[in-house]
Amino acid sequence: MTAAARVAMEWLSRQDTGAALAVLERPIDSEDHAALGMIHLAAGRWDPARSHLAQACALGDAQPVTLINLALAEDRLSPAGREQLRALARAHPFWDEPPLRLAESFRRAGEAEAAMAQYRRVLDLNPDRPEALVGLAVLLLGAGEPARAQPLLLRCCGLRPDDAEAWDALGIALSATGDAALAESAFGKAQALRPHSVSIALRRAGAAFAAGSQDGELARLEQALAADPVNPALLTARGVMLDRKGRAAEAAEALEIAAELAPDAPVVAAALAIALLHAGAFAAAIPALRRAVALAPQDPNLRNDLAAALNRVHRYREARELLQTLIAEHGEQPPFLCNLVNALVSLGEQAAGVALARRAALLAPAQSLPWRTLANALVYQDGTASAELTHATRQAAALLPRTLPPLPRGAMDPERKLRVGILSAALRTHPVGWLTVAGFEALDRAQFELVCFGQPPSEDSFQRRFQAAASGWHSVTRMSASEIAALVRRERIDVLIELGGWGEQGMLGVCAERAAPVQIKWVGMQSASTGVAEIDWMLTDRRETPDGFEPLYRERLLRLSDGYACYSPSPLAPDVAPLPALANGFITFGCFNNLAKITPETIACWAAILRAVPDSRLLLKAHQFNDKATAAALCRAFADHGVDPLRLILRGSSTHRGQLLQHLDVDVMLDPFPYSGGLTTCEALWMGVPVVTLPGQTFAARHSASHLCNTGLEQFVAADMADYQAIARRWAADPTGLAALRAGLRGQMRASPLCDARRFGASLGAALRHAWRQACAA
Amino acid sequence: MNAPLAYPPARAEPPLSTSGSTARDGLLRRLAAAVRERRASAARPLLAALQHLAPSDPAVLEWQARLLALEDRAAEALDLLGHAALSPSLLLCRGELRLQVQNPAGAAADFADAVLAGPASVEARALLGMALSQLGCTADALACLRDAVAGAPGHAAYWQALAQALHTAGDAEAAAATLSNAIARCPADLGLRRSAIMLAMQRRDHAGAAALAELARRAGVADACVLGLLGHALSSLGRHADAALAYADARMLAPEDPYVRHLAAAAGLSPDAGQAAPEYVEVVFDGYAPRFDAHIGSLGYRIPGVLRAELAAWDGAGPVLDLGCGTGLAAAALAGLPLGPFIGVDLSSGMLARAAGGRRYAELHHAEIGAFLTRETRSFPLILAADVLPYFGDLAPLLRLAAPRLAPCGTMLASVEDLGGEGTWRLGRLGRYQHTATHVRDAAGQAGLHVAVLRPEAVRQEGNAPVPGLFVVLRKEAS
Repeated sequence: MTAAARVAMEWLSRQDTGAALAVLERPIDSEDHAALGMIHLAAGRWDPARSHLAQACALGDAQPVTLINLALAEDRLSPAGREQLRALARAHPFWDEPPLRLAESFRRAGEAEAAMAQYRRVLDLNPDRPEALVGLAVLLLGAGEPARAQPLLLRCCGLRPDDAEAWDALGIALSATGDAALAESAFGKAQALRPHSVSIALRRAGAAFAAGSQDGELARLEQALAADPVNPALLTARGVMLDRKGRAAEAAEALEIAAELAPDAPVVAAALAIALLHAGAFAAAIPALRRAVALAPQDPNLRNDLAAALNRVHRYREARELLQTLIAEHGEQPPFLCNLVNALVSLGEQAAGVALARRAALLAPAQSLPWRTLANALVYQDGTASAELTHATRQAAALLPRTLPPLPRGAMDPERKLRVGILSAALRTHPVGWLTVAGFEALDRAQFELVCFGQPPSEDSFQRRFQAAASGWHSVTRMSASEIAALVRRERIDVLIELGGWGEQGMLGVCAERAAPVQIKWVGMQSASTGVAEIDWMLTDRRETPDGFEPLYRERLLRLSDGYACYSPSPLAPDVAPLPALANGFITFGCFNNLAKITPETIACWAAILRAVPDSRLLLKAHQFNDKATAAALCRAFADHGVDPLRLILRGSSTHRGQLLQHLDVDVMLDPFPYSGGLTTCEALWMGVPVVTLPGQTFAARHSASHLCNTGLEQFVAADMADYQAIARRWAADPTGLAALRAGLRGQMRASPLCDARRFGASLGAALRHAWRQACAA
Repeated sequence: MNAPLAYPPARAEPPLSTSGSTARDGLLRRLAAAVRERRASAARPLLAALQHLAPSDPAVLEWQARLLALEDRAAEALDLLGHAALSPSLLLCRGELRLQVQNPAGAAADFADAVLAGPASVEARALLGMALSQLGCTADALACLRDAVAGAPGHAAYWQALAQALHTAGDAEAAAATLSNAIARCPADLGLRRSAIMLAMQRRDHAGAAALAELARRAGVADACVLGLLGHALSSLGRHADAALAYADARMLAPEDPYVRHLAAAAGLSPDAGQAAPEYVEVVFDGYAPRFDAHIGSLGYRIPGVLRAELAAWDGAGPVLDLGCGTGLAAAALAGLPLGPFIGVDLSSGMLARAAGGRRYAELHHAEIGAFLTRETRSFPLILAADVLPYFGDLAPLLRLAAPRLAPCGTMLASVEDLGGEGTWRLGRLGRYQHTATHVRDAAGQAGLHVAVLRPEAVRQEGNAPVPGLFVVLRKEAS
């Protein structure tokens, strides 16, 4: 070897290909060309590598090393390379290098069987060749044979204790056979050798969870970070562990540091985005997800997560477009379809959403998600048959896992003080909070003790109300349904009230595990029967579920004496102002429900009212109208019914105070159907605006009727569509009557059962006691 | 055969690309945000990373100091900054720390240096004004703060400081006008609203306080403190039904707040706990302490005088236990009589600080009186409980705790607000309990105390009418 070539090789060994190339600027002989070929090969520049190595051979270099390097370069450029490797293998039958390189060529090409055969040949020649041990083991792992991979890896680790990849692969193999503690130890060795590897750190964290040693691992990570605070691998592992423990906000903080330190690492970007999603920080999650998608464009799940986040921040049109592209590229995968259903329904395309949900259920009939999505879409659609809704909910319910042993029957004294569990991820400023917390607060403490199973602590005022009313609070975020159910059992809850339904964060799975002797469904996606056999009762009232509605429900109906909900008026609410029609000279109808509830039939009905009431306007407020194209589509739908779009006032999202203030611009609210307003109706009434409603058959279709009757406004509940229009016309023609009603409505509501927490608490207590006595008697 | 091959067969994970300077900027931005948002636990790892990446960066030093201050470690932060000449930004930081450790003179020096280094800095001028105000240099402070609000009229904290300085200077009217002006410019600032309402309450302008709170409510301010003060002001005006609505709203926003809970119970909105929560009493009286004596005087508070009349003929007794001693009005009223030493107990550290200033007490204890009586082992020939029993519902448990602390033949003097009629006690709408004479007798009997005197005595004036009370003298039998 020439002096220059030797120097160049020295630089190459230090991984400085630039310096190595500089030394060999003017190659003289075959040795220089061979060295240059190696340098280019190391840098992945196959063409110049092949050229120099061929030149070396042409100049007389016939060394096997040069020949194999030439074959390696050729292998990257044409099928001839593999033939050259085979020829070398034949020419040097006892040399393990050609079969090793052939194995890698096959492995790269995804030809696992051929690769394994070559690795085995290497090991026949040299049983201690580490690359072959690891290579074969990795392929065995891929083929689902971790137990066969383990001895190979153990041998490799023994031979090369400083080989991080071998330890890592051993950890993977041990994890796959359920040997989590050993796996954690193997990953620990790998991490010590490669402390900046994010994937090894994450695998170690995963093994710690599987081994039940997550607290120890978290403490270890914190200690390691104290010594190395800029190690993105440690930060990422800590963040992912915190996220998995339900501490998503803290997780995001750790991962944000990791992302600053390793801005181009896809795993870090994805972990940050997911933690932000879990923390509910959707606005921050979207750019983070976009970054993660840009770094890992091949990952469809990240794009699906991005679409879900866009749905959560009401950017449905963007979500729809993203999902449609994703489905075009990756096929009709049920999670993509279900997110697209949500986007379509939210854009007012209920029928298209239902059709797609049916397709998802057809494609994946053994998964709960598509059935749940179908059930949630069906309640928004005009003319849904109860049989299909019942089928969808029961299918979704039947597919929920039931892993716990039967709940032992404890002491069932019918009159003792009861421990009531409140189960929901929405015990905060949310319809669940507005419509339930006052009732819980008013329960007789001598009779009922409350324990919440909810989201992590926060400063939210409604969450603080729940906390103040309860004797205990368990944060159950990121726990599995069976883990939560086991916790509820340990807490010896007598009556469990579920407040999430089939919503994204609903916890019907906990009820399916039979967490408590009595299980009740109440507010929170309470749109129809849950279909869950283990839910014993549906908390309701006689307007939501009149006599005769029993066959629509799998649950028994637990009717409260007044309404089924207790509204907490907002301290943010402005004072009621005079009827706007008195100053305007025309009637302004309104609807502040989201666009998902506005169906073609609703539009047709409202258009008829607008045509019948000259000069009237319709003020629609929904976050979907932030998007101009969506607003324009709605205007076109009204124009198709002969309504001048100038008579529509479309407003987008606002603060809660802003939403309440905008009631000052409305004379009469028009309830959508078949999915009526719930909290929206309560707020309209509190702001002095009556709501015309047309109750239907589902629970979701009757919320407004319940609230109106409880406030003494039965006259706004229509018997049919014609009656709905007639009520709207009648009140539009009576501004004096409307003004008088408006002036007194807040006081009327305050004194009504809808806001009388004490009265509600007594009624709720009686219902819970009745359910418990029934269970005792069973 | 081992050949020198060009690249390793095993695939290594590509190294993570980290860019120190880019990361430094991003991390520093996040650190500043975390400290400003008072998220110390989030700030710590950011600081650790920055100290690793940029150990001698002055910006990192500043945020390290600010983080220490956030963690109540201002002294350590000051050590960190040392006494050397600093950049204007670090001067402001050190000045703020010095304010935090009650060193307004040092703070003023730093802020003055910062003003000299950057005369256009409104922040430096405002901070200098705040420090000078604390030093009692009112005229200079006002000049600085007026410059600051002129330079940054949208900065609520400067207005707040100006109003505070005016109030400290004794010009409450100008302070109120300043706050009103500030609210017009910074309508979303809660602190200004609260300060304006509290100032009106301090001036006993309940109608003005209620109007300010109503104005805030109509502007969309949903704040438990504002609504609680609204309730208090309305109660004081006799508008009890309206007050109850305000308390109900306040309770929705701060369900765990003892102040709000107690007043909501007083308004009949929730079950009464049987005793004012210690936190409630502490909050009320800590806020009250600076103006307590003047206020009490203006209310025609009569009990100290009644105590003096009752004890004037005594030959002498001591030590005297003063339960709920407050600022020390009872001890002051008994000055010159052969009584003492006085041992005071109160929940409010603000009140105790003023009592200590009067130098009439041999001992002062910051404690809830039930807890104090439980752990105290000494006995006293004389126990005073002037205007403290109205914070208890059922008196029997308290008297049962007090009785063992009375020496044989010892005397306890106390006052209650008279509920009148039969029955026991109830929580009044202003958050104080009222008791019947029957209940006082029963409770004393249960504690084994003899009722020597039980006579009507108006305790104070409220709305120009006397508040009926009962003065009681209890005696313990010789053992």
